[in-house]
Amino acid sequence: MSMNIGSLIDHENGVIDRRIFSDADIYQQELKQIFSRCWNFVAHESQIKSFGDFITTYIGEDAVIVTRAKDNSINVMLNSCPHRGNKVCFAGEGKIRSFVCNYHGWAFGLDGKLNGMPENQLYDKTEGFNKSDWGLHKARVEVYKGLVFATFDEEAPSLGDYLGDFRWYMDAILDVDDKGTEFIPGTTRSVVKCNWKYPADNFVGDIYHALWTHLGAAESTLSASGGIQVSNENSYQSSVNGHGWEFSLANNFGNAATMGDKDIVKYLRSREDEITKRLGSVRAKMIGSVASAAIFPNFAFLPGYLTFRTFLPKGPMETELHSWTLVPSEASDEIKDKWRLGAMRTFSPGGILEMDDGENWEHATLGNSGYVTRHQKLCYAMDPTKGESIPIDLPGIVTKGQLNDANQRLFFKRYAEFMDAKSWADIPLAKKQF
Amino acid sequence: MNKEQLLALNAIGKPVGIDVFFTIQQYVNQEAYWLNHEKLNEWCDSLEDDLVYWAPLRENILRRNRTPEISPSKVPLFEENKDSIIMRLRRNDSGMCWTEDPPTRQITAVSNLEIFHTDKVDEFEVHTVFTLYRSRFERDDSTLMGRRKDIWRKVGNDYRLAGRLILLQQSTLLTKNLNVFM
Ligand code: FES
Ligand SMILES: [Fe+2]
Repeated sequence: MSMNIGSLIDHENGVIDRRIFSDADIYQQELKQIFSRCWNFVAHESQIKSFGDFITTYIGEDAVIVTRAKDNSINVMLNSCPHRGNKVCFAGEGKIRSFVCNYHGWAFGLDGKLNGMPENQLYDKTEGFNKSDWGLHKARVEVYKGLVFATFDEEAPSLGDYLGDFRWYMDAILDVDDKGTEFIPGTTRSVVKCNWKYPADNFVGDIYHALWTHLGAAESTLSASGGIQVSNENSYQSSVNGHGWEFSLANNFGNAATMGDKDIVKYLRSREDEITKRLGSVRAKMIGSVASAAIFPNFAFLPGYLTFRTFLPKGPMETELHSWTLVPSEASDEIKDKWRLGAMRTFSPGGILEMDDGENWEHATLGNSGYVTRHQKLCYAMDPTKGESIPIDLPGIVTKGQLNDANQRLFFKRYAEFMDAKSWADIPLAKKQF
Repeated sequence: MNKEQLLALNAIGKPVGIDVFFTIQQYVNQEAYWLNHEKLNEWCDSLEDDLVYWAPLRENILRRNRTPEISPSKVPLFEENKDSIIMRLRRNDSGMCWTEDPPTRQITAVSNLEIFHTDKVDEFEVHTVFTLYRSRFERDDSTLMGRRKDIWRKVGNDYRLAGRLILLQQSTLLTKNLNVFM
């Protein structure tokens, strides 16, 4: 029996039922209705550059292996052996020719095919057994400018349609020059005992919390320049298909400056003219400004810091955070190294900013253990610029002022659409205009 | 001091005599006391100016893989010098760290002390393991264990920390943050 989620979410008025952040049945419904259907981020191409490279990660709670096969194709498949179900690959990353399961020794290729097993004559003599029926279960794979996404849903639209015009915004980081981007080696993993939607809604549109949560941390690097500066002047929230980006166009390098490294700001400034020529003056400001962004359901990133992260669900009250630092490939090794350190000192488990966040999300989640507490509502009502017109041409549903709950309301609207849809046919996609 | 030097600390030097051992042990214990009692400015003052304080990420790598698990160019958990530690302490001293009020209670228990001579007369290779227990609020709870490989330098009559490699044992940190020095 699936619960009607639309009735728990009043996205127009911004009133949300707290049970979606703790209920075990709703959580199971999410694994099916959201994670097994959506295009999920799994890797950056730079992590699997050549034949034999692989990483392991998760789509929802499903363990997957991401490989680069001999024909240069990228494969995403369940990390679970079809024989008795054991995990096939226990490494987080590496280079390999084939995956051999520890239990009985079945061997799988980088394309997921079952290549062989010990005592294979036992199967040769087994009537009706075909190796080709028993490979690792595969997902569909598509890449957008270096970012690899996968879905287990045959009916899902193309990745391009799924992202829609949000790609116009993503290009402000992924397409600022001809050389593209890469992840610096190293995956940071940590566990926060919170519902995965708290970090997701935080990144999709909650700059408001920075004004209070991160006051102490901002002292470290921004006190000389007057602390965190966020306002609704010349700033916006944009939402496409539940993906969202809240951003300032006033303070060009606000996020980048918070890392406390002048050379990164200098580098971004040196690139501004060329990016303006390529993408226009609006997007040239978006690579480093005060902003945050998230791609539905659980993939997020921060302009400036260039931290990219997934919020992997591990039960209704636990989330595993995986994060990476992305850099423009064309930047010098010296600048890349400054990003490696700058993102770590701000947005990693010991980072001065991330340190403040987990605690809030954990206790927002934990309170819902109380019966009375979880039957209360949460307020996503902030809407201080209602009806104000947008002076520039931007794709998606655009709201004036980044201090606003607009993107979060639209995130939960999208959430309810997925949760209540029988199939992809019931899930609307925004028309592409850019 | 640099990260390559720290990676080369493999406990192959000559063990120090009892006098040096006992003296350095007092400095190691003094440091743990400061870390456990939020005396971070005292701790910071005791650090050498060329300090390298490095906690690499841990990763699950198959034995047959030729690329090393730990490399200086990967994203770390901490890679600090004295200036960046001072930057971090400004957060603690801001009076606006809501997540530290009420304060976290922590114990770093340090053991398995081994001390070796190095090829510099005034530098000593110090190995320890630690258990870091943190308790916060009513039931927030985290235990981390790790190994430290240090260089302590004799300066005048003092021994000062000049390099530290911290090897935590979890590849996925089963905790929401590392709001501590180890
Ligand atoms: S479970 Fe994998 S070979 Fe048997
Ligand atoms: Fe935050």
